[in-house]
Amino acid sequence: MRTRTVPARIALGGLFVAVAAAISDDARGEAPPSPYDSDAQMALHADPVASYTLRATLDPAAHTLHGEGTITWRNTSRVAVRELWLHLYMNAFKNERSVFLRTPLGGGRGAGRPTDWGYIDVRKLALREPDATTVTDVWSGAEVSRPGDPDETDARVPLPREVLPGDTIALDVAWDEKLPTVLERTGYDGSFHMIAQWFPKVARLEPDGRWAHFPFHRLSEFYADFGTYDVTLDVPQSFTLGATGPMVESRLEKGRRVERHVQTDIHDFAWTAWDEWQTATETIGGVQVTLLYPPGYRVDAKRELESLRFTMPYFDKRYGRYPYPVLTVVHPPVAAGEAGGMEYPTFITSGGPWYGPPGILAPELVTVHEYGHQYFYGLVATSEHDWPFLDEGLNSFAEQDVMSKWRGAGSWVDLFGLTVDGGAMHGVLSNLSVHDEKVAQGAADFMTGGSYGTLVYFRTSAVLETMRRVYGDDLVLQALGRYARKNRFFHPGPDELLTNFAEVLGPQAAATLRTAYFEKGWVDYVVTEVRSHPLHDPAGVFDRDGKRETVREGKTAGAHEGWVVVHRRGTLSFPVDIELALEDGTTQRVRWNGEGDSTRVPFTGGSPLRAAVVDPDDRVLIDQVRTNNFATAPASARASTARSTEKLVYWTELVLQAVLP
Amino acid sequence: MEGTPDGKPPEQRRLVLLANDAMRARRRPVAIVVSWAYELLLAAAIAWPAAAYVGGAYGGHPSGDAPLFRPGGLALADLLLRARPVTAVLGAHTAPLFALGLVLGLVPLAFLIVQIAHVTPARRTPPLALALPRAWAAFPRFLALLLAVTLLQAFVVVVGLVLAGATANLATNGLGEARAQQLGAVVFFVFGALAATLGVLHDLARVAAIRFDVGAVRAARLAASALRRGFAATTWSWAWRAAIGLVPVALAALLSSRLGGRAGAFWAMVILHQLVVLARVALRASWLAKALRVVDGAHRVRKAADAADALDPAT
Ligand SMILES: [Zn+2]
Repeated sequence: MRTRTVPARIALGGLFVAVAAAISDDARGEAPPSPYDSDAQMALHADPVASYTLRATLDPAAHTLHGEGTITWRNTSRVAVRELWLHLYMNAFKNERSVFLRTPLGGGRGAGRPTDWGYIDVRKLALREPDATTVTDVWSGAEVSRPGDPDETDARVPLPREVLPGDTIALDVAWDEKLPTVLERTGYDGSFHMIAQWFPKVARLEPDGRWAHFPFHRLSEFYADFGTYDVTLDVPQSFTLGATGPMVESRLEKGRRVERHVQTDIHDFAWTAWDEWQTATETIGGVQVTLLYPPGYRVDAKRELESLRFTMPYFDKRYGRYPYPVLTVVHPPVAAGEAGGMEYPTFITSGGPWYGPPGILAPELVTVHEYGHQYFYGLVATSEHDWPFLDEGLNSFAEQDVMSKWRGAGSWVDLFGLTVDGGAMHGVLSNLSVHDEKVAQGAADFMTGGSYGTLVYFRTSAVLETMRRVYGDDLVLQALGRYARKNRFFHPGPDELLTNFAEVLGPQAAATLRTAYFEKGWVDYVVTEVRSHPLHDPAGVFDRDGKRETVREGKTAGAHEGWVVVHRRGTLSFPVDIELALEDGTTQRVRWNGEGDSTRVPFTGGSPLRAAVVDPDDRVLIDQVRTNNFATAPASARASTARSTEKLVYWTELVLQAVLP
Repeated sequence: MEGTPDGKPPEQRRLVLLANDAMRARRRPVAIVVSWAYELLLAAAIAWPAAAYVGGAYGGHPSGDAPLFRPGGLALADLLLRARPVTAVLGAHTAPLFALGLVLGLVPLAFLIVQIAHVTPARRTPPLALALPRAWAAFPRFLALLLAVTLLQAFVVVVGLVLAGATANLATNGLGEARAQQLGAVVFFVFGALAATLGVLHDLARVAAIRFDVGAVRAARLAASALRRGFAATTWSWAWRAAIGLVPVALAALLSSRLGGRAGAFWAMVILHQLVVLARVALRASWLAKALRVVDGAHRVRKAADAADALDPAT
């Protein structure tokens, strides 16, 4: 069904080995400096490839839209092309034969059916000849679907002539569109309109001349070239607009509100129109932030602004300065919740009810996550279709990193003394699916939405968080920051990520990353044996000075000796601490490089060995089973769990009091 | 159920009713402690398998269950997710024990009411041998009341939820989502208050059943008319006690988050938590005494109360 060539994957191994070999064995803390450790040499602008000058007129009563304008596109590949591929995303909601609606994936976001269908009808697509006066229709020859596959989201448009490498063409375009009831990111609910994936969009042409086109799949997001978007929006006067890029013109005419938004260096454009939007604005680090929220949701707007006040400067510092003058945050009403939690250049959607308790950090998390996509998807424009872990995964790490630095251990929940940390949850949850599928695969290759979610988002993040805890905050963030700055306005693949990690953290760490993402890598440290006995002279039969002597019991000296056996299960390895707990209450720590299958830790001490713990500080977040990370010596008493018993009894008493007659 | 059962054992007749003003929870500390002990034992029995599971998993850790209390919840979440296979076992143990404990809890409740309402002719607290049979005798009536009122309350709550949802949906176009949901919450609050009032009526019916030794239906009628006569004062008496009952829980949570995990804090937490539970039992007893005074005040039963009325209220 899908055709996706895999040269990137094959090239990956070779490139990686070459880079790894060129770097010293242990680069910890000795990474050669790179100009990309700061913003100094970061690209200021993207190479414009696909630019759109569009005008859209919305009829919010009929939920229809008329669009027209011009697309200019440049062939930046090495080969001449005679066709264009156009994404017609809105046709995903046209009928149940679309790839989006027919793919068997179970529940989750986008799992419902629209109660009102959505579709796009291209009315005109015409190539302007170089003389700029004549135009040639190219739409009549277009192929909207393939034989045997009724999906209409991926159109092939043959061109009347070749477009040579470096040549630019201009296309006049016009279309009519019907919006669906809101379903996964786009559509309407009453007079609320979220308008995304709404215009005919040129697929990206890779340097080797391969079109990165694909039908719209429920688990897949997008991939496009950078360009300038100059979009004029026309809605009834009573509607408030929010859109990608700064507003450069605004006027009211004949009962209509007309706004023009222009932004360079972006690769998508989304907008919203609603006659109930409330607005809040604030300038954060020179960026004008606009919040659009429903009446009664002021509390969420405040929480979202507060999270951006911390996050935006942090991301500037970590991943390079945010290059756009504006950011629009849209908080859709709960009824249109599927429009929430989404990212477009300079335009993100958050979500959640107005009554969410402050200790459950849902609006903060969604806002921070979607803002993070300005970097991992927006500026570092990886293919979300081929490598979703490079946008959702890296961004989930960036999200939990900034959240934990802002809110500490309660980065998900901080309620009545109970704290739940996002990084910890990413680790625990991703362990559940690690053996099922690879992290590094195409969005459409995942068998279930569940494994897509836990592996792409949580596993990617948890592996990086493990590295952060093992190798240090500075090194991991240096590697990721270097990757983000160096690849700003480019379209990197996994190679570039691993290369940067090899440069900063050394080949061992990069190899770990590779195994974790490409080979379902996992690890489980296990303490299997804890033994000690009084140190004594050896007993037995000894021939000394020509005499045979039998020592029944060796003399003891008050000290104890013994050992701890720790195994490593799985395919990943990290250096770990092993803590030995003695009967007298003291502890000893030893470090194991974590490689090899097992280690035997010798012990000598002033009192018997009571127990041992591997990774006592929870650095290896992805340790598959935590309850085997420790063991008590057979002769020692097990430790008390009275505290949890007491809590369980007390809470049960409170529940009983609430329901007892 | 209706009326007074005939042929009562002679020892039960040896309890007499206390005067209205003399029915005070603070005079029955033993009964309050018995109720608390029942709750503690039941809770311990219910929680035991889960506690054993934790002990099995973390007893081998040199710090015991301390990792489960670390900030961030890593070990706790890991343990909970791994507990999925045993949740069926825990549920199979907990659910029936919970249900049984709930129903059998009617006996200590009746015992508490009997103790508050009565006294021996020698003006002493009714001994166990006298109070328990009387409490046991009330069990079928209490059970009938429990089933009836629980069904009614469930019905009220369901109707409230449906109406609140419908109100919110209808009002969304005019008021916007948030205001419409707030209106829905107000509608639900009204039904929630109604369900709470049914709970008050339930307690009044129980104390009436004990005080006047009548059946469930008669007790419910007496309770209803007593509530009608002093609606505001009675519901207020219940409401302030219910509200104050939350204070020790919140205070303990605050203290627990400050003290938790410190050396020597364990026994302090045990004592603190059990004091919270005991305080809430005492508040409940205080409300039941008040309920007794309310129904008694509304329906003096001369022939039964005469003997006790003569007693010094200060006894
Ligand atoms: Zn995302």
